[in-house]
Amino acid sequence: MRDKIEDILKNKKIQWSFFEYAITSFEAESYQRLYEQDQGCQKNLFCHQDRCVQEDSYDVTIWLSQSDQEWGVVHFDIVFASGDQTSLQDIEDQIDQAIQMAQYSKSPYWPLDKDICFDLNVGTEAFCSLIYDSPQSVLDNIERELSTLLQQCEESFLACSAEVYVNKKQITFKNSFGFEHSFKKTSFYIELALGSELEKKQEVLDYQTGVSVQNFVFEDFIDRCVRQVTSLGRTIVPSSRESVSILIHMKDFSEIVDAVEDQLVSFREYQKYPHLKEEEVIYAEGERKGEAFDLSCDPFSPMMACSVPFIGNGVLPRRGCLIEDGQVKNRIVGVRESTYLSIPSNYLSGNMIVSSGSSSYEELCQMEDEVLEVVSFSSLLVDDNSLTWSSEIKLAYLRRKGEIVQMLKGGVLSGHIRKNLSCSFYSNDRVCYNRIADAYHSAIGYIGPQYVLFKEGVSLSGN
Amino acid sequence: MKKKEIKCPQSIQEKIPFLKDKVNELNSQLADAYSFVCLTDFVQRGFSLTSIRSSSHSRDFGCVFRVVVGGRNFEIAFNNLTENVMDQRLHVFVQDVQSKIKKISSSDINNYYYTSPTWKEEKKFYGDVGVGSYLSDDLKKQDWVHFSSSFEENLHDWNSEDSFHYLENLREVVNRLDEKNQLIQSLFSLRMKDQSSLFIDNERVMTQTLLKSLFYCEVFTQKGRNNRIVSGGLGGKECIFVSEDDLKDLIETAYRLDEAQFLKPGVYQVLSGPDVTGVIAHEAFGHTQEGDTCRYGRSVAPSLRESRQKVGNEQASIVNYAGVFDMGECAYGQNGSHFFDHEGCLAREHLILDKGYLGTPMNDLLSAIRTKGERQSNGKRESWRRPIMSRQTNTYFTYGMDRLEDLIRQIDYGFIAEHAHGGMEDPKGMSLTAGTSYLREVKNGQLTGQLFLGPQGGHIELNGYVPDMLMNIQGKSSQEGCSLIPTQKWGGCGKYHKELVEAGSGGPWILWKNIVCG
Repeated sequence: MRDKIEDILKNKKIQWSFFEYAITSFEAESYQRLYEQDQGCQKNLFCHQDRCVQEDSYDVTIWLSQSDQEWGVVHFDIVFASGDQTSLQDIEDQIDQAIQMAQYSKSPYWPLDKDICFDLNVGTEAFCSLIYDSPQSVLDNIERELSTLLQQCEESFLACSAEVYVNKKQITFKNSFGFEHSFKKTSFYIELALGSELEKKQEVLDYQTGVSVQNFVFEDFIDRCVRQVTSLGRTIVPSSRESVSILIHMKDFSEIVDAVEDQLVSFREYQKYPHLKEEEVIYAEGERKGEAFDLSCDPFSPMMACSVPFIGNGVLPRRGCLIEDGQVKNRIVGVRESTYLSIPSNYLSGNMIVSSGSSSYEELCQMEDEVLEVVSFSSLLVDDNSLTWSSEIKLAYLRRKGEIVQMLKGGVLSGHIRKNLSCSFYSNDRVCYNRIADAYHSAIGYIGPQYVLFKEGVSLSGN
Repeated sequence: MKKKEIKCPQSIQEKIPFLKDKVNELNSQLADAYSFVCLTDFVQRGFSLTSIRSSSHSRDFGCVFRVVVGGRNFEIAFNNLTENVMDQRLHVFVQDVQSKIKKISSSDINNYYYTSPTWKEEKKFYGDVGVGSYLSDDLKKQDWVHFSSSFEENLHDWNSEDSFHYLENLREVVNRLDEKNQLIQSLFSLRMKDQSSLFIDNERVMTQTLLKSLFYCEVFTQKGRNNRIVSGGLGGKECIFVSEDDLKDLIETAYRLDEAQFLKPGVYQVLSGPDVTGVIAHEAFGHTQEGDTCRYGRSVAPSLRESRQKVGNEQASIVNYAGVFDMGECAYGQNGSHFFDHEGCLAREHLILDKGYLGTPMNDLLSAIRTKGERQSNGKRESWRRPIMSRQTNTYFTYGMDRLEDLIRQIDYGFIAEHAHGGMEDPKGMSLTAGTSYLREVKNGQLTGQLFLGPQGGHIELNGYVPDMLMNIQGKSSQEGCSLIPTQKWGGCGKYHKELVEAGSGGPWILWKNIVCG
């Protein structure tokens, strides 16, 4: 079917002075199971929804023009209902409609990156799937592990629900310049909700996503969930205060860093959205009082969510330094922004790499007389325009001189990212974290410290 | 203007005989089970105007075959409907289900046995109102019924030139109204959705077409502040009307946000507009009342319902209803509306909180089967690629009796929160947050003109323990327009942090005594 789509596009090409296209085809398989508690057995889960998804899809981008002053661009999906001739006409109608849309979606011209070739010799293993088994058997294994580990736990808790998804996608990209490449992408998602028999008004909901189960240690995940649920106790809503020191986990920190990285995308400058400029210092008032914030990107980290074999139309992505000790060293510049802003392109892309600090987790907990350790936010919302964030506290520990003195639930933490980074301290370990893209979020690949202490720029609203 | 409806698209209609056969085959192969198919064809076009023009066209076409047996759901979903490919996949699916059925106890199979309502039963339940008005008295087994939302002017009839022309005109208006001439950027966006679906089981064949339109405008100041307008609903051009006064207010407020103060974190009296009220309704006893969450033991609602504990005062009444086809002063519905859900349950009005007492949960099919509860029209999924869950449709507080100006007069020191900015719930702990973009200060019953942002300069989260909030509703505004249903705003909903579905939410203006703001 992809060849048929391409044939139609090639026929359309001759009507235009400039006409280029890119077709991405996906063959995807996903196995999904949802679980709930088996009645009468508090640690047993049974599968109440068992589904298999098989997808064949085609995304097409068209660039067209009658002059070299501007491009008309449109991105669309091709849908085919069946393989017969009728649907080919339907496909041609869809392409004609897209061409009509592209004619009116004019943008100033930029040279499509066709002269920059993908280097097939650069190792592609980094982003290849290492799931050799079928997704269904991977899911069966996860289900068995989950069941076994929950049963083996000596602690008392209720297994309320779980969700497991295993996904495998074969992606083939081909464009009108002759560049073609196929690769696999895999991902998994596991979510577990545990309740406490004693604390009826609290639960633990934790989840893990990743590219491959090879690096996923089930025992650690179950252990983390069980530790949380068994430590649930009487919580209070904290009192309001204008300034509070907080310790957050890499999952939440990665979303904050993602917002910073968004502001480094130079297309924002062209669009006149808030953006970080070259040489700009991100620390509030230009002053650092904590440890240095360093951010770089790497598209070749093995088994990470933002590792890619190429970007754009077949361009080799690059790794590089974005921010060094709070100062912007490079922004993310593709060929389009490079043309519009008259700056050199750099094709920086990939997973976020943040430098670790010098303190252990325990040392961070004791760094201030009082530290609020956020175990989980209810829903962290980060604004990449204003570089602010806020969320209700789902569960937090109030630590005094490192010791937990109170469990907190409720109240709202809000933060100002520039102030946070100007006085932040990072744990001395290095961990990987992946968030697979979904309808709500883009993918995140993060390598950096597991814990971060913000001493400034956070306020707490409560009682 | 006379309203029109949309016929069932050819892409769906031509599949009816073919898919009927497949469902009937499933029924014959899996006698103890209830089987159905749902096919969806969603078309969306989008146009955006900033420094550049961009457009996109997406179409999502896929089907889900479902088998319900022994209180479990088995599904196969795909988007390649070529007959031989489909037959092969269904064959493997049936074999897989048959082997799994063998592991289900006969008591579960008997206990959770389900049969579809007939057309006669549906007509008896719904009568001649709402979705019932589409059902004739003489419908027979597997007769086809088509439902369609109505519209005045279909934006899908606009070509790209028309769409960009519309956006360019609005940009000219904004530039003209920007007297300070200091806006650094403005974004204008138009989106049209045409969502058609087909449902077939052993008793009913039905299709629906829902036309939705959305307009979005955002302006940015040189200091980096932004303000936006969102206007949309279930209909055509009539949903996206934006007046010059609206645009003038958009621009002036953006400049005022440059000078906004930062809120001191604390507890305040708050008057919420329909947008924010709707988010509170959605988060309060929206998510907490979702049937699957209750079934999993992850919601406190079942125990509260059983003990008849009051969780709100007399003003605390919340409805969930997919059949919203007019609201407030608008003769159109909202994006959370449908005629039937993804499991073929027709839309029905459901009082989930009645003057502070919890009603029954919002059930999907499996929740109704497993709990022997009442079925509701709340079985929804993000797309054919994603699992089914109990999801909200349109959730709203009912009208009150107060005038808006009287509610404002009751504020000693507090704020007005009008523009929603996300929200979150905790069904077990019963706390919620509802975000708002900014606050308008009120002192001694008068607006001071001062705007406030969050303590760190971002948006503000309104937060509280749900029963406390609902016990302290001080007043609700009265009916506006002809509709008994308050205004709903265009919205979306994530189940915890994923599974995005469309959901309208709204309500009257509500005055809250004490809300944590930060």
